[in-house]
Amino acid sequence: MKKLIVIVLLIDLIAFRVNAQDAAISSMFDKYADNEDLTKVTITSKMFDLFTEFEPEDPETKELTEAISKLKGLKILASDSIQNANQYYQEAASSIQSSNFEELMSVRDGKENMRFLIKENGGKISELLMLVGGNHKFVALDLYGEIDLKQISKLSRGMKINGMEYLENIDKQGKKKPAEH
Amino acid sequence: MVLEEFKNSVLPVKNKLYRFALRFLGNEDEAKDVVQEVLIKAWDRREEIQGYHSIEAWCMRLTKNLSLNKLKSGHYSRTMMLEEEDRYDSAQDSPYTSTETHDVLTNIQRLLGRLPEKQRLVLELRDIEGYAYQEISDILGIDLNQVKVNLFRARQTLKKQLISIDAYGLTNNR
Amino acid sequence: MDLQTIDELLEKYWNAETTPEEEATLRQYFSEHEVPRHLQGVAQLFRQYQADQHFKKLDAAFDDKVLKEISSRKSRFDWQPFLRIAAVLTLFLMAALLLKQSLLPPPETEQVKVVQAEDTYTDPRLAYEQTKQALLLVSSLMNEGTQHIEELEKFSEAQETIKSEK
Repeated sequence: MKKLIVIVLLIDLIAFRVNAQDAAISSMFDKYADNEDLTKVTITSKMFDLFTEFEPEDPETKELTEAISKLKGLKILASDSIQNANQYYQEAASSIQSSNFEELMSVRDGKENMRFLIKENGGKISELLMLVGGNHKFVALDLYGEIDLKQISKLSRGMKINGMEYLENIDKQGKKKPAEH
Repeated sequence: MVLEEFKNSVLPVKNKLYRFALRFLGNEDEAKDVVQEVLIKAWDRREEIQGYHSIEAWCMRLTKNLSLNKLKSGHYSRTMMLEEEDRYDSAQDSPYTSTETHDVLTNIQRLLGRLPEKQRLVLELRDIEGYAYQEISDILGIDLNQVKVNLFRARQTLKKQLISIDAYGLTNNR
Repeated sequence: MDLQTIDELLEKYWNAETTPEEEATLRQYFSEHEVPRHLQGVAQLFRQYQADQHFKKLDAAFDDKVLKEISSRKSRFDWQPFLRIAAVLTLFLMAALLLKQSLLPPPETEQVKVVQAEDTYTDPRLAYEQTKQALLLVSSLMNEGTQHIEELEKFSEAQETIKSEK
């Protein structure tokens, strides 16, 4: 009987490692599913499959499309106008402590905290979690699939953009079209 | 060991095992059961016994042990032994055993039966089954010298008895 | 073989000095020859030995019984490990199947519904746009972060320089 349980657990681990988002992250996102203050974005592998139908419109976005094509899923929890942004950030940070993410980078910039965490699988990054908190802003962004950090880092270099502007963008879009669950 | 090898190398020992068991138990059905048990055990442990110097000696030893266990375990043993004794004793009077040859054979069986157990076993393993001294020593778990001494004593006893039969028994009948 | 040899062999026999070959010779002699009166008893002894060998035997029915028992054991013995492996494999498959069911999207008929329920966007273009934005966000924030690190490195490099200049 013990053997059976071990085997099932083993399958569990293997299966989740390869195919799915981290369980801790998954439950973190589920926890805020009904939270009206946060914008929720979920894009599943099914949707990513449909992306392959678009041709890259111009050469500039080619790299972007390439990066996207390797992804299997995306989840975002975000808001730029909440009072207790730091509390959300702390909660999110503690909920991933139990999972086997490795810290890639942690930045404390004045009132804002930022953490990048990754999960490696066979030398490749299989999941990237970004947490931003403070100053009424909270973002938890989870990418899974095959992630090439160098490629991602290159994406914004030529564009001279401020990352936080995009957050505002996401927020507006999210509110225009609230999550349908 | 595959079944074919077992059939060719182990199974043929069955008669020796059977007679050996019969010597302890004196009952054919019980002896048969013991032999069956021995052969099946030999099969179950075939990988282990394959490396043994003599599988036959191993089977014989097991036959002895199982037979002795059987003797110890049941009260049947004593009554069976007594029945056997009765049969030999009454043989002379039985109408079916009244021919001369059979009469003498039972006499010889009685002679053998009267030998001390160890002497009889050694003698029978040597003279009926044709085992070498060393093999007898292995089977019975006694040292070589013991084998020789017991064989010598058994044959000396037989010699005396047979000479007396020759001197009186048979000559009288003729 | 003359009687004198037999007598000599017999004497050796009684003293337990005969070899197995010599004993075989005696057995053969007594089974084949009429013997003089003084050897009648001895002859009976040797004939008894042979009779024991010939008549106390187990028949073919016994062989069948043993072989039948053995082959039933044989199959049990051989199949046990395979059965165990099969059981484990079945478990594996069952578990894998269950997981697969819970992980993979359900069959075609419910697909549209499920996409609606799970995905924030039903229009792939919107979803694509969103993903693009998200990636750019990650990218720019990551670069901001590394910039900090680079600044730190520069700072520590500067410190090193100051130290070494002292």
